[in-house]
Amino acid sequence: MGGGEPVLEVRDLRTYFPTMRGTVKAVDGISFTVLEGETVGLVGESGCGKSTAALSIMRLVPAPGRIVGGEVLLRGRDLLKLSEAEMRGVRGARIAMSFQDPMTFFNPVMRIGDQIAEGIIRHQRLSRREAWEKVISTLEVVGIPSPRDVAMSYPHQLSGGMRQRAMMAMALSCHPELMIADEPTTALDVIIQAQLLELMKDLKRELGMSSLIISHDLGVIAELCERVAVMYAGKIVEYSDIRRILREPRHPYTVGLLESIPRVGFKKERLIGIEGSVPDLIEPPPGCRFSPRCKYADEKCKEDPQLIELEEGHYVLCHHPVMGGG
Amino acid sequence: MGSSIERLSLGRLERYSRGLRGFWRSYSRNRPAVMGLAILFLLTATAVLTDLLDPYNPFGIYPSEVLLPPSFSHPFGTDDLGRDILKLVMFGSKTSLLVGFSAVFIASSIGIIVGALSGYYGGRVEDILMRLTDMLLIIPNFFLILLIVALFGSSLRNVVLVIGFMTWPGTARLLRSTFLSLREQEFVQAARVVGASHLRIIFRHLLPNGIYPVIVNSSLQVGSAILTEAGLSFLGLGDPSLVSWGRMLSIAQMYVRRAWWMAAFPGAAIFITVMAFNLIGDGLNDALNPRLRER
Repeated sequence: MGGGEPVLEVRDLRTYFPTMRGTVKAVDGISFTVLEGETVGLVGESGCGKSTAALSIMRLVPAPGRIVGGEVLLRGRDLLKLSEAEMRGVRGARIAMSFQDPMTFFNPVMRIGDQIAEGIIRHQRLSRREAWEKVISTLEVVGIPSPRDVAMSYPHQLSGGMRQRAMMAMALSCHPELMIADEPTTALDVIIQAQLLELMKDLKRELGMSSLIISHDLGVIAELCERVAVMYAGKIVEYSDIRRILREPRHPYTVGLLESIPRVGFKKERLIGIEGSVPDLIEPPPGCRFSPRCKYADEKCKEDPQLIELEEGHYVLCHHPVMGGG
Repeated sequence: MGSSIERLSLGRLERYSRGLRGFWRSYSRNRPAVMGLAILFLLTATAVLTDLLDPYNPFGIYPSEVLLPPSFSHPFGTDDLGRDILKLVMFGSKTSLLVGFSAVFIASSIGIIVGALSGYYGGRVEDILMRLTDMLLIIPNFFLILLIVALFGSSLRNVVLVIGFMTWPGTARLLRSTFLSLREQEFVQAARVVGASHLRIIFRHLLPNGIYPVIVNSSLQVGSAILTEAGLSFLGLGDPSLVSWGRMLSIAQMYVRRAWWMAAFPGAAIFITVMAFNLIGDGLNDALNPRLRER
């Protein structure tokens, strides 16, 4: 699948947060590509820098954070070199983004329809009336049964699932080339999650849109994505297509992530977590950042590992890649 | 054509009136606040109607009617120049309301802009604007107002401008603190993501969320602006060409043993007016505070 032109290329992106204690390297030199029509997942535990990576692509890193290096190419054009005004024309129109919590995502004192129309009016220069017509048709696309009523409601009058759909509509309303979804299902219960995943798959099939899905949930990523990048402590530690990651994970961290997912039908199996927690990003451990939690770690892991291509399109940042399946 | 937009605007009108009704329902539960509003209506009506119905000259001199106690023909008595106190009090209401509302309009406008900008942008913008605010806050307000009026003359315009330009720091601080928490809300990020500019976020997204405390505060400020004007006039620094409750009090000092009514009625008018605005502020707080409002 995919295989077309690259829509988004991220090269050696670095986003640092200066703090009183030192510099937090939240995103420390990550590179990945999203091809035309492709869905790429960015997976990792809380605090590994995946949301910061997404905000860096939008150039909306909250202060005091700053993008200190790298390139973000949207169809070959470096977004980091655009002026702020040009960047506003990109946000919403060419790259859209949805967030984890649809309750706080919407302005509580503005109607849903007005909020969705805002981007349409700004980017497509339509009148208010035309924009509202588009709002209603977009709400229909995301499977909202009575789009007119929903457009007229305030956020607190909608259920969580409805809000999540309305947020998708908001992101889709200007036909972006790339959609970034930050934890799209995390705040929802399982049934609504399943419905939303179905919707996202449908949309992907119908619109052929490229997207970047950010989640801590490998299950969600596996449902939606063709390729996946596993992030740990600001770096991408493994990058491959989803089947290979699931069947033959090479990085010990990815192995640990997969082992910590409960599987139906394997009753006697004990869930294995990963010992320890995400390292301090101000003074990360020398060499491989996962080494203090890694059971394969040895002296060599005190040196910085290089990203190696084990097979075609399967990259691992590790001195001792796991062989023969997890 | 247009059927849907008609539906939309009809819906908006309907929701607006429903919102208004909901607001009134919770406001009217506070009885004193309703009384405050009634007093304000009465005052406004007096201020408007005195001019229209009775082109009586409040500056005339009536030697035969000097210092008469309250009676049927002069319910509030007369002053040292024989003028009817009731009529003077009625004329005075115009000055007070004019000063109160226009000074607060100026103060709120400045306060909203300063507070919104410093709360939203933070950093150096906030440092500069807030130090300026602090500077105004530490200067004893009344004395600075006194000084400026003494230096630049005491026309009504000057009094209004001075009160307006001296009393915005409270509003600015109030809105800044609201904006500090509002700007962290995710919907700000969301608006940025669809390409909204900073000014648009400030005025379209954040201000409607944070304006209620400012409205409440402003209604209280009207009361204190009226009091400040009365104080200035009492010290002889009000506009000499206007009837003002404060000036009436000032003159009444000299006769307070012989003619208590000269001080009592304008004093009562000031008290009642300021109290009315405080009651209204209290009621607005109850009605606009989302935590107290029923869902």
